Amino acid sequence: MKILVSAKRVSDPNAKLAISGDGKWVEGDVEYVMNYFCENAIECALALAEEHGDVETVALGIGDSDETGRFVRQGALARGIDRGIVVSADEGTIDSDLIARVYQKIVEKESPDLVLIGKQSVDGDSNQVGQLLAEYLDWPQATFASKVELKGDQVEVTREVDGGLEVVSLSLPCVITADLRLNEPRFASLAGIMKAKKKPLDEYELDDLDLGDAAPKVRIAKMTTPSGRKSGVLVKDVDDLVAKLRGEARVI
Amino acid sequence: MTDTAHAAAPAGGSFLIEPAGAHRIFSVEDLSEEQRAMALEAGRFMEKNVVPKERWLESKEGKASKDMVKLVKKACDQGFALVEVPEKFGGLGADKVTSLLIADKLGTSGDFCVTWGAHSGIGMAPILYFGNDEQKQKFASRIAAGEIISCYALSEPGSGSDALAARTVAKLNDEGTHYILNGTKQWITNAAWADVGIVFAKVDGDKFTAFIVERGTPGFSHGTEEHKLGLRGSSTCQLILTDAPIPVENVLGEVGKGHKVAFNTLNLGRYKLAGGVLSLGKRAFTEALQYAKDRKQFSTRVADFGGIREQITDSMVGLYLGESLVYRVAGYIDARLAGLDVNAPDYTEKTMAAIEEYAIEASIAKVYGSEALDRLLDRALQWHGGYGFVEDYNVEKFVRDARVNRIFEGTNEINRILVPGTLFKRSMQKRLGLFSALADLEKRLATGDLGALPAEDDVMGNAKTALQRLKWLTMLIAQAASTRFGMALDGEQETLMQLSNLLIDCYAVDSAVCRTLQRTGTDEIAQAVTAIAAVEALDRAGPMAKRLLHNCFGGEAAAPWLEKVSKINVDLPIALLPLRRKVAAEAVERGGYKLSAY
Repeated sequence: MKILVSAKRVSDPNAKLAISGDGKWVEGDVEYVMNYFCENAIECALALAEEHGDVETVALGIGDSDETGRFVRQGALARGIDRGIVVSADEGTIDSDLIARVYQKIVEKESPDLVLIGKQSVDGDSNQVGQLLAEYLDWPQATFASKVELKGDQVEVTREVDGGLEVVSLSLPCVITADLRLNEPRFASLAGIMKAKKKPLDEYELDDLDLGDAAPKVRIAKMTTPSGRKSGVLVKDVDDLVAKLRGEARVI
Repeated sequence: MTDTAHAAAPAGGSFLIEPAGAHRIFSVEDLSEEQRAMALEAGRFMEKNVVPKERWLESKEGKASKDMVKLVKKACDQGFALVEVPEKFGGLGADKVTSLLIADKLGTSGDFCVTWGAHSGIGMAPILYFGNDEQKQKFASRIAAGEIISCYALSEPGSGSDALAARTVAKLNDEGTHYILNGTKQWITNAAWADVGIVFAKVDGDKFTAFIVERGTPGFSHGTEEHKLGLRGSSTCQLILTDAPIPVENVLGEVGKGHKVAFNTLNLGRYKLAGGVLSLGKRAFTEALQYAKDRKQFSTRVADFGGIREQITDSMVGLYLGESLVYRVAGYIDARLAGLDVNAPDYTEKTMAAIEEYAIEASIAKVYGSEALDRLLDRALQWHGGYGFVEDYNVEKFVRDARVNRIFEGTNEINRILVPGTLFKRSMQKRLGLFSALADLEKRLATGDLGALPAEDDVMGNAKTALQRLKWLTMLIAQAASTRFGMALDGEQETLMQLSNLLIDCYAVDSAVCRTLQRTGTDEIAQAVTAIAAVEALDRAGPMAKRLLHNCFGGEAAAPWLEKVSKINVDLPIALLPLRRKVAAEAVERGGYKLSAY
């Protein structure tokens, strides 16, 4: 069995970002971390491999080739994923659709039985790649997985849906997107980091993948920072409070 | 293990006599991608597992001490204790830089850091270096795996710095199967929860020897927990041995050679301690800067007052120099060890020789690192005003936890004495060319060949000139002190301390100059930090040298020496204040120390 898993780097959500002058991207000291949901997907792939044996795990990263390669190595291979693939692309302009089509081409090359993708990346928060990919491949999909169990040629997925959980059963091959409560991602051991250095990492350019039209369909028109919070006002008494809640805030 | 090109390995102490900034040294910019990945994991381990729990660990309520042991085991699971273990025993067999790096990154929380150091550092290294294969298999590999917790027991109620005056005794039993140990060990980190300990005792009352003592040995117990100023989440008790039988196969190294085990372990521990203080310093600096940026007085952020910014710059200088000088030590040792066969019978001997070669640098690292940290923390607390004095902010804990760094691993006074003492010894042994360097200086003084002075706006030129003059002043003072006191200099500790301070400045500033010259690209902040450190060190050294000469010689006899001092010492015309302001502005803007990223 072969599992393809996503390994995307994202700007650290805890870091302060500055928007570049043209309003199209961020600038300054951007620190990157592995996308949280990809960490869940990676952990899930590793756990399935440990449980079932005879599973090959492959991580895919798309972006700046050197930096993405480093993240695939450190975030995925060092944790135990068997090998990596990096597709070089401009992270500032590539959109969810193009990412899904890159995945599609890699799936055609690799023929995995299962694709595990973080449900969204914590930078763009688009939450589209898994769904688009399943559509392009015409594979079954289960999004927002909080539990994944392999049962023969079926995979049982517990999904987090509004107001509860939904258990679905899919036939392989299929696409699953990982949610935060799927598992507790492991850390890389130092031995894992040393082994990762020797693991294979294949690199592709977008042009190598025969994508047809590689132009993004979505372009960033403008980015703005959230407006600052207005400071509060002191009310004189309860009557004043009620008046303001009714008149200005219109909540009662 | 790394693909890093290590620096060459000149003689220990040669930083004093070589021209300013001449060495190619190892610095954190040289870390490999793999080492950076390891550092990142170690940092994450602390951030996720330890830091959120540190106040709870400190409380020692109920389960807290069990949690500390769990954290140590968790760190072992991730392989942090395997770094220095040879591959033959399941370890990574990595170099000293890597092990320093891990110690550095695991240093952000004092209680864990000291517990971890006692377990995986001084509690394991003696077995790795002096143990036989059975002992390595039976103890070291299990310590590294976190199956058992270790400790190191050298000090006693009556002997601290004077460790060889220990009174714990060992006597072989009639059957020749066991040594019977009697005595008490003091200040033993991990005592309450250790499964095994490296314990020193004198066989027949005179042959100082290291033993591996296991929990469960009859007559072996620990005392009650000490109530400490800091590091309260760590365990510190006495270890008590009353007719405790230790199997002869648990003798570590040779009977009567315990001093080798003890002192070499200290040498190893010293530069690692200087690594561990770096990340605590950086963490405290970041947190305190955040406070100083948030807090306003007189409608101005605390971080914007010049009086505070001055202290911010001092903290940047301390961190940059500390980082530069400690990685330099590890890089030198690795360069000496490169190509050695770990399985060769003389491996330990050669390793210890390499570490001993840089004993001066290791002592300086320990003193500089621990004192730079305390200066930084004291200022960080000050920026908090009254809030620094209460438990609502971390800084009070940092201050309490850090204080002992100046006491353990050899007090800073002991280490200060070692620096000039070792330097003189090496010069007499011709291992270090101090005398020819002095002859060269004499010639320069006679001909006036002391080098051109830099333009006032040449930042690195001023740094190099200041450093060169500082080195010459230090050599001159060393010569004056030994001329005046000869063999009796050992007894002149006040003079030795001052000489030691000059030597510490020489090594710290030289490390910064070497490193800054190696760094590529425009590097205004690093250059400014380097120049500030160098010029201010020289500014301190001139008057200090003069006073020391007056003290040594008094009256007329000091005159020829003073004349030399005035030739060497210069008032460099560079304006440091703009540089200081630039460094502080950068630190405030970026919210921390950003002169390195690893």
